[in-house]
Amino acid sequence: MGEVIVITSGKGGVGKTTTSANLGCGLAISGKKVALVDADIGLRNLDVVMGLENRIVYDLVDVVEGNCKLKSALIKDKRYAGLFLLPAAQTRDKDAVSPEQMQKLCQSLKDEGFDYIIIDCPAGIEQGFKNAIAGADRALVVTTPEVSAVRDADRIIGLLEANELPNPSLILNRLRIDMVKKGEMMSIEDVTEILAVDILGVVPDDESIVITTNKGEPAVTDENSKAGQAYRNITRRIMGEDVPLMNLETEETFMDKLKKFFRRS
Amino acid sequence: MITFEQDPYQTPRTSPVTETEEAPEIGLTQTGALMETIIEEAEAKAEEEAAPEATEETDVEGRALNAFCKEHMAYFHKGNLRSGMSLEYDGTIVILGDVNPGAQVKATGNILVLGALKGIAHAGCLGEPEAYVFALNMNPIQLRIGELITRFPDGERSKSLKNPEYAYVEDGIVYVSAFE
Repeated sequence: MGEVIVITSGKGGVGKTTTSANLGCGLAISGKKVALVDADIGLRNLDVVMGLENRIVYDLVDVVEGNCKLKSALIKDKRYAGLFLLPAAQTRDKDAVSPEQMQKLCQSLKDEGFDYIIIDCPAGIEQGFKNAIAGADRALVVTTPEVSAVRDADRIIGLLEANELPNPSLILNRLRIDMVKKGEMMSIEDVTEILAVDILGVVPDDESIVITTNKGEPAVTDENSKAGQAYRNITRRIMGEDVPLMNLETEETFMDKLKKFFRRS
Repeated sequence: MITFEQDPYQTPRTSPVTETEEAPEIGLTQTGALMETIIEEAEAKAEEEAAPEATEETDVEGRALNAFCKEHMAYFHKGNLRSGMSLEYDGTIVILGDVNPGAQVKATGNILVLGALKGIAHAGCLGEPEAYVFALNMNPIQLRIGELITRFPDGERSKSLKNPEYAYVEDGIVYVSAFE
């Protein structure tokens, strides 16, 4: 039986789309059949991040309105068998779809035999958010260690609970351990204390994310990427494995030691 | 969104409901020099096309201009089409500006972009294979002519390409050639 996971945040730009793409790829690498659904109608990005933009013929709105069959709209990923993308429409807006239609869509995706259906939720708490969470069984809230993002995440968790999606898990994105140590950034503990939800994973701030996103290849495939490693751990946790939080400490290089030495003297 | 309510153009898609279970096939756009094919069928045909290209080119151009263009009205659009905008017209569309990624141009006739075409262009959208697409900088996400939907092979097009080119259909394959 498939599981529908919605990835949401409230605030924009915290990494919902990046997280969706990485978790989708990660689960597909593990041999699962995954459908990535872009619910951000009118501002679609997931197809660009996945590098599948030029393969779109039909989209989510076409499926919902009955212009095409679900299978014709699902785009097969170019790298992994078992990974499919259902893109959003670009020339429409959020009102083109209703929560009931999304529920039906999620059910038909489950009937297609997908193990995981990952929904990339748009920013905000309006129609788009309501649509995205309508068919979900489970919610992942993405936030960054900033007061504004945490505040919005808190609001979102409240709304999720009100919509019968209790106990969402948290993904703390773009953490910089060096700044946390200096007390300039909120730590994992600070965030979990405010939000009081289970933490599913911590993704360090990583330049490779920008590079891989622009190339249309998710970071999860990059063995050397710290963020990729974090996403691989999160996928394993989603599949029910017990993986400890990764060590985010970066080893001090010779240059760092040198700098520290001079600062001290 | 820019749409034209007065036009009789009714079908929003080339084929209403696909009866096949699989996703619609997206062919690959063929470029004159960079002819790289993935579909075997296309490969064989492409080889055949390589030799008589010069004569075919003028032929297609002439046919398209004479038999097709004359009977269509042209709509002129000044300005860029940005992501999410769509322009539809029963006839030929001339755009004095760029078509950005995420924007869509759909015409029952030809499409001429006097700028960069980076979005989706659908010429002859009622199934007219004689239609063509012209752009000063041809770099579309997808090219659709008549019933055909094509894209460039991955990583083939570079942004620096700035020669006027036009796309046309020949034996069920979309070709892109330099415009001289």
